Amino acid sequence: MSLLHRASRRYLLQHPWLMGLSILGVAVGVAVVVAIDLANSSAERAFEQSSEQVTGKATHQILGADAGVSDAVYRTVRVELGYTDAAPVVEGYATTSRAPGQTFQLLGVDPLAEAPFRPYVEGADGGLDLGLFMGQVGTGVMAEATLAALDAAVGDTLHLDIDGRRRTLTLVGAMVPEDDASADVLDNLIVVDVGTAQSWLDAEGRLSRIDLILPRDEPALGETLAQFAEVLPEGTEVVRSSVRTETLAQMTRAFKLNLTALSLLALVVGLFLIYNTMTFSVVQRRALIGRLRALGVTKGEVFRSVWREALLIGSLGTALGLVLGIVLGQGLVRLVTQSINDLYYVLTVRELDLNLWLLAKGAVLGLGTTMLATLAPAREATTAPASTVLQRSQEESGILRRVPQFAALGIVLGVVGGGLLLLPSQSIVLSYTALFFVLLAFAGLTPGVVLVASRVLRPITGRLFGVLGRMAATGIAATLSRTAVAIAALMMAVAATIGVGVMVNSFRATVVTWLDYTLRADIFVSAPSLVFRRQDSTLDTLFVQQIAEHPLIAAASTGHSTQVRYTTPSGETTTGDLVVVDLPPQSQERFRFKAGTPSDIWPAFVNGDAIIVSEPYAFRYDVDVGDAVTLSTDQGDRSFRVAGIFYDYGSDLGLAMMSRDVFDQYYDDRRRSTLALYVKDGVEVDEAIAALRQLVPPDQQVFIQSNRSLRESSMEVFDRTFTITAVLRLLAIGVAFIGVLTALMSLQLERARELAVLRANGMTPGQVWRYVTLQTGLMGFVAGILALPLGIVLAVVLIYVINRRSFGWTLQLDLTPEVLIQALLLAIVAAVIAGLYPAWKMARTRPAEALRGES
Amino acid sequence: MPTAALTPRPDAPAVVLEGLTKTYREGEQQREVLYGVEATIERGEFIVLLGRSGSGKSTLLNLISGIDLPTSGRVVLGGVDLTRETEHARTLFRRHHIGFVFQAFNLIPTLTVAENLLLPLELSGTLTDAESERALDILGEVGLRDRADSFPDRLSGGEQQRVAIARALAHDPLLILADEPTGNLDYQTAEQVLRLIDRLVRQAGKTTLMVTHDRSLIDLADRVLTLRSGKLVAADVTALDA
Repeated sequence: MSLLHRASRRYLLQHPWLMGLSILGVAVGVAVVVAIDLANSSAERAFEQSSEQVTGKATHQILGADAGVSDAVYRTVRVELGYTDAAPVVEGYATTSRAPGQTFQLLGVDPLAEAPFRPYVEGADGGLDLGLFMGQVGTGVMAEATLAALDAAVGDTLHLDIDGRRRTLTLVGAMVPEDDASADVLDNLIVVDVGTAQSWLDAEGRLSRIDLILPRDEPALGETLAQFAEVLPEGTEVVRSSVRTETLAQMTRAFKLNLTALSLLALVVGLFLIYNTMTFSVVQRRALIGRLRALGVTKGEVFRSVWREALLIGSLGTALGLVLGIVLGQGLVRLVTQSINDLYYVLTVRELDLNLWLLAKGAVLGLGTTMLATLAPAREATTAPASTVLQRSQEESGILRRVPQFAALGIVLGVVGGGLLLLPSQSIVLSYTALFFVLLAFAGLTPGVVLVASRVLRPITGRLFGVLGRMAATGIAATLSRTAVAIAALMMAVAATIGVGVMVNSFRATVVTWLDYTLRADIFVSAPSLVFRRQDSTLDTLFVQQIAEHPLIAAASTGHSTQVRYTTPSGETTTGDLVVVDLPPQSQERFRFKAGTPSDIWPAFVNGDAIIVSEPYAFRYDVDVGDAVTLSTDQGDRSFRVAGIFYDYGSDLGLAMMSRDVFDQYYDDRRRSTLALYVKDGVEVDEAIAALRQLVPPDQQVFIQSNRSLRESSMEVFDRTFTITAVLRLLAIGVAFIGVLTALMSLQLERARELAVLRANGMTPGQVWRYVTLQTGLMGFVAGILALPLGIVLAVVLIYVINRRSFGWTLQLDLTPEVLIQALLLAIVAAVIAGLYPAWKMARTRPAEALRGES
Repeated sequence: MPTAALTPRPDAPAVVLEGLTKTYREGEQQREVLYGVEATIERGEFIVLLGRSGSGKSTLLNLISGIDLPTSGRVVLGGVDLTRETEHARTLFRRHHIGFVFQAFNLIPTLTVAENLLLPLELSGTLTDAESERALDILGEVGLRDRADSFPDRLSGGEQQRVAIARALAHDPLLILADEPTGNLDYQTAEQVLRLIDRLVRQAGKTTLMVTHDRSLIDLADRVLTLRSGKLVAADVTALDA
């Protein structure tokens, strides 16, 4: 190790807190990014595995219009067409009280057709009796390891909850995986005979799909597809197996991208922290570097020396960040999974997927960010003049001269950011890039604002706190190279809390208003659905009829959510939610339309071939009023006119709505999932609920909720989906806090001599303590003041640009003074807390020691 | 990109200053610190440079060492015209051929005494076992061999300056520049340090330019120069004595 290297390493070791905090800053930044990446990828991996387990070796699938395909289609394929590489599948989900929080995939198969597709049934151990499996409803197999985890064995029975009904599964075999990979795949699987699945899922005579293995090469594939087309009835279609997986994966794209962007914010704040630390370490050693330069150390050697220090800090910080990221990822994966389950589809993630590629990406980001942030300080170090005379280390690093340049750069970056936001693009990445420019623009303006603030505040603090107040205000500007960066880092973190906070509040307020006019009925009845925002479980038909005709009920509307294939006006074919409703006139009032007039919409909706679509749907598929959307129906493809676009905040994926009467003309699906009930005048809601509960069939789980209760549970889910956002905000503030602490500790070291002189001249430790605390409070105040406009800009961009480009929602900006006051207080309190220890240290410094020590 | 250091010619004088001027801009005003400085210092000479505060002594040292460039004129060390060289080349020249003794000692606080001594050798890429041993011998000569592993902050001012002297000699430079080497020391310690400098530089036959306020040092000098009105002139030693 060279002496230069040794000197720099010892400098770092002599300032362990400076090095420690820098390492921690990098570590937290890296940890947040890695944790989010791992959580996202674990969810993705789990999703792929669950897709894999049900798809098996199938290359294609025959799908129906909405509620699957008829049994008869399977017979046609096997008998008429004579195609044997085909297997019927009925799919659903089940939970059991033996494994709380775990959702199992229920796969109904025909064991005689399964062999080419999935090895589960043939691989079932324990002497599987096929006769029993196929002949007796309620028998099935699970993986051996899962049975052990559930403390169950072949021959036992398990109680399952499926679509709100209690079912009993008799275990007649255990699946033994061939290897570890297939063990993961089998983990969440319950395989039953197709007849059992049909019975349990209320799908008598229907299949979820028919799996096919088709020739891979043309022209054989084309010929086979043509043969299928000839015999398949209207409304059925052969699609590639991967289409379904791709569609589901696409649902969470914007959700995951927004999480990643938020996690990068912590890294950006971390970047400022590193910049701050390295700048400080350079400024503090300018005299030392000057000596080395006088002794013949070249600029390149100085640059490389600083660079090596950063590499050391970056490496240690990154290594620690990866470990922390894995730990944090364990927690975040639960939050991500919860949000996906609330919003998109059923998913169980058993463990964090330690994806090496993502860890490597985290390492590159951590090291890259550190090295990037060190570029300027390292360059700054090379400008230290070779000194032959005693030089005070307090010399400012020329930042004062460069304040106008920083401000000009800030303005340029702001203009570029604003320009990018105004570009007519739907790109979310572009929006975040623009936001990044805006953040940097404010950072560029920070030194100038700090200078002005110092001058403005000096007389005020002087009047309030005397000479200490004047010194504190002046001190911020006097050590601008350190204070400005710390203030910028704190400003960014606080602005992020304002931006995200205002966005969430605005979203919340919009949803509350929306629920106010949407939830008009007195009572809501639904079967438990595993995805909160999709009501696709089935209510017992008789039960629905009894409730609708109950003497306490004045009117009822029914709803059912199903998945259908759409072809949008642009020609895009996709699968999405179709909500089928049976609306009495009073329920029509609950809709607010963004486009279309209610007097035109309702007649067309109820009597004609018209649908209405939600705002996110219109955004996602670029649909407008008057456009025609083609839906796959049981009668073949049919075109429906879009009569109106309504506001809806229940699903970011968007949904189309069709009247039950129209739906019944084109689809064979008669299921109902929800009921909205209006009680008769003079009837108490609670009384009606109690009466309705008497009608619930014994094996059916039903939620019967009052209007208020549903509203509360809706808001509970809303808040839950933003928990992860709150966690990320807190982490960004944590990194900024470390940044401010580092800056203040640095100042303490640097100003030891100055304070010693003050102490020697009669300043008491208490006064030193007040002086330092006052100064940190002022730094927090300036950061807070700067954060207000930036936070509002962030909120506006998040609400009107990023949210629209991600989900297509119209949100009303809800900016309350409380949020801004809280943010300002947060900045001051964070800065003051970060300053407590440095203030204590400074107050304790013995003047004699500080005066003697060489700077 | 490493560049080979410039090599002084053995037959050339240690220092030649030709028409050296240095002007600083102070607001709208130009301030001339040095004006037409002419001087030649032969090898092995011990020059004492006297001058009042602000007379330009440190500026002259910066120009001679190549740290700064003159407004006009030439600085030629061992036949190498530093004013024609790049900043990088001047740095490498300084590294190989100039030894510094500063008023504030300027030892590197994060290196031990021995490491401070070896730093110039390592920087110039000539750190061999023999060279290392020679440098430690010099440390012995300044009486601090037993403090080789101490850090500078454990040493007294006089001891720190003795290390600085040893460091200036360690890489066998062409020229030693000493800027007020006794300025931070008490009288007795200053005396010891001066005697040491005199003994060691003369013993090694080194060319030395020492900047000082201290008129008592003129006894050590082969020649005494002074800066007056921006020009370098021979000092009137008799007048100084008086």
